[in-house]
Amino acid sequence: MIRKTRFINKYDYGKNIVELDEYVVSLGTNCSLKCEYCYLKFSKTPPKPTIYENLNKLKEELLSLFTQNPQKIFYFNFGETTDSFLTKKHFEILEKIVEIISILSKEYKKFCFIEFRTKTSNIFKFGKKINYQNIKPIYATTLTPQLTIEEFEKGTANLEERIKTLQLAESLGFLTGVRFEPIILYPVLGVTYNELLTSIENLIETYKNLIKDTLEKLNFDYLHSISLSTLRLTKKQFKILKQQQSKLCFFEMFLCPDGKFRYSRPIRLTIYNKLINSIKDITPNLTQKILLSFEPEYIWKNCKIKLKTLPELSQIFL
Amino acid sequence: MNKQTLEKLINSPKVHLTHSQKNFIKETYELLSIFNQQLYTIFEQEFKKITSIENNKFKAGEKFFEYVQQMRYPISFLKLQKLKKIKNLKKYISNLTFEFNEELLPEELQKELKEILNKL
Repeated sequence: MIRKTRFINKYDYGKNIVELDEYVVSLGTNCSLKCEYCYLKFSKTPPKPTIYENLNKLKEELLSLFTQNPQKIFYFNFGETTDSFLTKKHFEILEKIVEIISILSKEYKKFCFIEFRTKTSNIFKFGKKINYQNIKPIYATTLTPQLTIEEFEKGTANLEERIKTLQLAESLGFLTGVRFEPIILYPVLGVTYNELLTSIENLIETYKNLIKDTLEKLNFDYLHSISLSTLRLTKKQFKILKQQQSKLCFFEMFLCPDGKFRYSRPIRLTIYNKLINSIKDITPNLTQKILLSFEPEYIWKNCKIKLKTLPELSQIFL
Repeated sequence: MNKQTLEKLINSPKVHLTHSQKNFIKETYELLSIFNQQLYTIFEQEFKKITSIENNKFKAGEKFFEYVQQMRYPISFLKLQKLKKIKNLKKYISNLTFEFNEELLPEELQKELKEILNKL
């Protein structure tokens, strides 16, 4: 299919949100994994997952990006408008795009980090080494407790498989990205204050175990970044999900200045701080690799996480 | 419990509620009932309790609305009340939500605000 709009877009984070300076590359649109919270279900997209093949257009956009921006390091996200490893075709087109980026990067003396984000285990089927000059590929997967996967991410790989994909990615020479996002408050045990506190404590304990189990299996030298972000829903999503009686529609969510519903600030900060401490307990050095996705600066500060962009964070891998 | 029975409750002559308060109660009911199927009984019991003590429909409406707000925001409700009590805060923030950078406000307010905003 032919892409008529831009292939490469600077990520629009929204009002007051810390910008991570990444570019989204739309190699395709839509996704068949059917995660209940996915924004793609609520956007105008083709009915079936689509891949775009007019890569000359992408090349032109890339050329203008490289010539108009003096920065040396670029961070591209291939997993925003579709799952990077959704099908073999996705992976093939993705490789072609990486090749184009590599050629132009070399020519214009740029260095690019490319994030492939997935909730599948398809790297076992068609994953292979991606070895191009001036490119570092990052294999990133969302880690979610199994119970939450079964409730909200029904078409995706299970947790155990996802952790194994990270190990395989390491062995193929990818850097790895661990994405704890979205963190969904589930199960909610009831509507009273005490029931809610217990639900939050349970969630934190579950994630602490998940963090420990995952990180002890990974080689930190390959670990590019760990991101944390609690669930956020647009007004439209919130309205539709409420009508569908979805358990994503938690009652103590507030509309933030960027137009997204989020858990109230005390809930978010408690979750973030406890999880960040549990990462620090494993090894304090990992703190420099932690990012809070889609949060304003005051949340980062109250978590004592230094503000950084993805290209800045990536410098240690050059 | 369906919407009609809730409508009866909030349109009862025993309470006075504004249009936006009624909408908030209806939305809260929708959201909370996702997590608790017995919610109507809980709402109804509280409604009866309030209206049996309070004869003034305005005060009864106010109390019932406050009860629903507390149910909707179990963690934030009391915190919002505390924010409202902080002297001079409204001078700096027109809309009292939790989403602001307290470090941009005078230092004497910051410690108290951090306690309220950043912890459960």
